[in-house]
Amino acid sequence: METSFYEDLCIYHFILGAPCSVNDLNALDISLLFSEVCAGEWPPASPLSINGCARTNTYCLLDGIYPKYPFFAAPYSIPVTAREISFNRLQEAVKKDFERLNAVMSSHLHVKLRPIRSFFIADIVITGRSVPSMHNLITVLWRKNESPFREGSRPTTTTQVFVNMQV
Amino acid sequence: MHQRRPVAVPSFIRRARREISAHGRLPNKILDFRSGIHDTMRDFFGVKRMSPIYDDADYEVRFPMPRELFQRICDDGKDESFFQQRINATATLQAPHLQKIFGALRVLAYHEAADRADEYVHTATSSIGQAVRHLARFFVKRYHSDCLRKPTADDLRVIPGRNEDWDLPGRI
Repeated sequence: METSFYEDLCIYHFILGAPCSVNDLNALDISLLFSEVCAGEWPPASPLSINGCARTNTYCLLDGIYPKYPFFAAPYSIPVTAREISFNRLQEAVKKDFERLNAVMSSHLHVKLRPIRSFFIADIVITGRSVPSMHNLITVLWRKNESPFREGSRPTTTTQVFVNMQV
Repeated sequence: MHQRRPVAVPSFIRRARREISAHGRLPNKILDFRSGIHDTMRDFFGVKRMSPIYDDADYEVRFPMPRELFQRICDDGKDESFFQQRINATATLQAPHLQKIFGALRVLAYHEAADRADEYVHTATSSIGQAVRHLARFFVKRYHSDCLRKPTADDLRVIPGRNEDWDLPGRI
């Protein structure tokens, strides 16, 4: 399962595949979201300035081996300067959101850890597809009216992390 | 004219598909659906103007979701043909929608065995097994397009600015 999500753990795009059958590059290849990015349909241009430099496009973080597109902000493979090291540290800190999503989603719906419970392939796929939508419902509802029984408070910032996880 | 050959189906699947009341099969167990639904309502929702036994804190331990969400799923799912309460050939009422959704959600949420639900919602194992499949299909059909949407242009105007707090401006 490859997911794209905000930092408050709301998923907005995901791909399902058999374990170990789809690697990072193949997942990128079949992703409808990324094909829209390549075609220039999404995301819409939103001008912003970073350290005084004007940029038109946003970017997103990722892990693993991906092509060097301007849409991706990958960590440096061999960081040398202090600036590169600090960027890598920041990037890897934010990437931990992926592990958080993994833990939260499987605590919401434990069937995510074992989707092969069903006998037929169609049922397995449907079960896998139902998990993110259910997880989103639960997350959004808990974000709206914060339950006093949950520990911790909800994050206020929103980010997106491209990650690849093997179910 | 080309005639389609019958699809070869393994015997164990054929046996599983034939879940009908036929001669020679074991009689149906007398499952007390009424007491099952009564117990469920009494424990979590309250009956006869009495407050439920388990409060919200207990509820969120037993279910991975707030009470409103469970009620919303029940309200949305009760019109599905599978979850509706049916009358079988012997003119007895079958399990109502609440029991099927209740049991199936516990299977999806905690991955418990389907016959575990038999003890507290009084629904047969095979019904829970079917209900899990139908519930997953219902989630995809009903909530998939609502819940999973890409950030729109309005979102993208706000999100990169928020990320400046994390020293990564422009990230979405």
